Amino acid sequence: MKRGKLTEYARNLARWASRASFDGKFKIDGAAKRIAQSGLFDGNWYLEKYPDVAAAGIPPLDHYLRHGAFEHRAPGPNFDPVWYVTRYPDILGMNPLLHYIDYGVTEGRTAKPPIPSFVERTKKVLDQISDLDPEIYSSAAFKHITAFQVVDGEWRGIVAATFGKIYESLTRSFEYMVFVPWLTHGGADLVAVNLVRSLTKRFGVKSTLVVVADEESTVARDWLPANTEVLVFRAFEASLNVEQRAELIEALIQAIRPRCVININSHSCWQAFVRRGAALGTFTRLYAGLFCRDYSADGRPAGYADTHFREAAPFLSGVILDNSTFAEELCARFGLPDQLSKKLRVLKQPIPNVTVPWTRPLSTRAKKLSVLWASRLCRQKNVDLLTKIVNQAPFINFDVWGRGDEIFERQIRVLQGKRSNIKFQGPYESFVALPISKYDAFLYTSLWDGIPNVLLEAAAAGIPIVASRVGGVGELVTDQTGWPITEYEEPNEYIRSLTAIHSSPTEARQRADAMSRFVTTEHSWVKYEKELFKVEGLCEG
Amino acid sequence: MSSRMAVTAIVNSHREGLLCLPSLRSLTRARSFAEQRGVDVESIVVLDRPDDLTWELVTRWGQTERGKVIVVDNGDAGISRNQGVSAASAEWIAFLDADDLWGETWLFDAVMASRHDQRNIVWHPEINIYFGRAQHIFRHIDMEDAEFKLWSLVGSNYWTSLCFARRELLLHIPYPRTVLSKKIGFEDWGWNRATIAAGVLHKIVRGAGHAIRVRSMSLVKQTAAGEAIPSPTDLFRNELQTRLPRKP
Repeated sequence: MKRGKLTEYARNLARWASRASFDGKFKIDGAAKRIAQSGLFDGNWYLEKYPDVAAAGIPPLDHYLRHGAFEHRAPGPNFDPVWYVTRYPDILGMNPLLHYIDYGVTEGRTAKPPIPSFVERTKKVLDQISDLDPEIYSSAAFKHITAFQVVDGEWRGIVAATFGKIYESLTRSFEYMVFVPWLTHGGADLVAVNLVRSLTKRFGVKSTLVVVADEESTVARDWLPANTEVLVFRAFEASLNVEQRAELIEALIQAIRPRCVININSHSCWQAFVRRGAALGTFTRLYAGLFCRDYSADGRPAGYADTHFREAAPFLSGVILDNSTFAEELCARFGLPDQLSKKLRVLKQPIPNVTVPWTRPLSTRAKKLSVLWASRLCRQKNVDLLTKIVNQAPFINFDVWGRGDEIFERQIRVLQGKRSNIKFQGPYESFVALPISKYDAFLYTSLWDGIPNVLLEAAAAGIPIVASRVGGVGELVTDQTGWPITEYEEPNEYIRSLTAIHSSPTEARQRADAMSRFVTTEHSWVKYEKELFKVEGLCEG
Repeated sequence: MSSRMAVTAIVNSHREGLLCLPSLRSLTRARSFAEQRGVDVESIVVLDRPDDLTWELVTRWGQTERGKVIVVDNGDAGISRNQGVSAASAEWIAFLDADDLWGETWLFDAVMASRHDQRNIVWHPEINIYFGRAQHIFRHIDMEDAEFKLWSLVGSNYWTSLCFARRELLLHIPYPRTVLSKKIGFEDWGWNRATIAAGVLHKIVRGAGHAIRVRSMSLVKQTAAGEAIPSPTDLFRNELQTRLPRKP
């Protein structure tokens, strides 16, 4: 490659890399593969057209990549590089074929000039009408109609291409679409899974499509009923931004036209609800899950209840919550009139079918209380408060299970290094896998929450619970069923309650038993499914 | 079969003012071309909430060019087309918007195409020359061409509204209402999808053409800007339901 051209090529490559529309995606790696896959390079044709290449014995694609593209040699009969760079001078210096493959196709650019016969037919039409309107006969542009861009009505662009791939891959239509951001072993994921379990139990596994819309993780796919159809956007196209994913969701809903669409925490789906909920709601019922406020790193309310609910509310058929406290808060905060407040439906999430009962015998003779903390290590779960509690209660042993943000995992490891009363056990596979009978109490320190699943599991197991009374926690942990901490940022309040468990084992047992009875009734699968199918529109045609 | 086939040309008009005259002249020209070749054409202009200038120009044209003028109060292009269809008497309907132009041969070529292929078809010109604020060529795609993709109709409309279709079809499947408050618009796109769902083919008349005026803020652009979608359809759902189950 001549030095000047290489410099120009590199300069243009840098220029393209900085363009906003570029998305930094131009890949010079794999160029040969992309060209070969495009079907636009024909090696035999190339050698026949360029006998000098054939005479030199150079492999045609190799020659094209190293020299031919910059000499504007045609790669095959269906791409005219001279015409392309003349028609689209903005790509000067780039490999025109690669530009067309990577961008031109989705941008609706044409690979070669219109077929001469098409041009002739267009000129004849122009001749028929050109004298009728000054915007035609006075326009200099119409002297050069062959230079006009020729477009058609095909839906193009990266969203269209992704939709096309998804549409072709679908095996059938669906009655229910459940949107999730990802599928991990988290609380909100479990809400979605419980929903899918109930829908597929009632309507068949073929009725429901789970759409993993925001990220690619599907590690909790095993939670779903066998043979549940799962569609992962990122498996088709990883580069879509949230607006593009929202557009993709709108297209899918229009195509599949399900009876109901239920969004459990997908950002893209919330965007779609806001953007086109009015139109989508004319032919499908839209539902969303909301559980509690969420907060940004700097403490601002940043959950969907604050960012999207108000705009989407008029188009939703229902909002599914897991606690009454947040339902009341939404009504008060947004001044919801009856027509909107009646859409809020509290569905108490069910306890797991399998629990391992807590069997530790409590005794005042035990030297030290042993406490279990099991949750995600993140700001929401208030690892800072846990640290203070550990520091201020050297007479209590704490076992910390879980994983999360690196900064908080490190914090707990450092604390373990300094304190003998804490042990970091690391991640756990499931609550039933935890050795809960080693512990005297379960400690929960969250700053904000709905009714967290881990508390339901602890409640079902029958271990005494000390928990921050935030969000919906107070509906579960009361003075009769556990130790709710109203001043939830005060370490001493937790320590006082843990000490009470130690000094009053009978009381601790009584409250734990009351909790177990409570969740068995109020958070049963039977009750959950009964309430779910009372949600307006969920079962109707 | 009679060699004279009747066509009703239906013009949708609103407030085009002086812009409507080139359109009406193109209609006159196309009608004349067709009639000279044995095709009867009647003309109807549906004036939907016109301004005074448009009303005067259209009614004057109607008086001199044997055109029927209907004044309606719909504020809806699709509903206005439906009313034009109801008032029509011919077997075939050809639509024109009152700021666009027909090529001279359009009516005749469409009639010939329909004679050669008598399946349930909506016909479109092959070529659309866009003029005005933007210039380009919009090529209509034939549904029986390899490049046609059914799923593309979810996100885009293959054809303009200026089609040639049987009156019977238009009575059976009228244009849907535009409800911008519910973000439902693009009545022609919705109608295209609804007709395909009913088994109708959309095909092109090779060599025939229209000229489409691009104005500064057309209804199409307003609809797009307002985040509207076309009326819902079971077209894709039905197609998905026909797919064979994957072998385990």
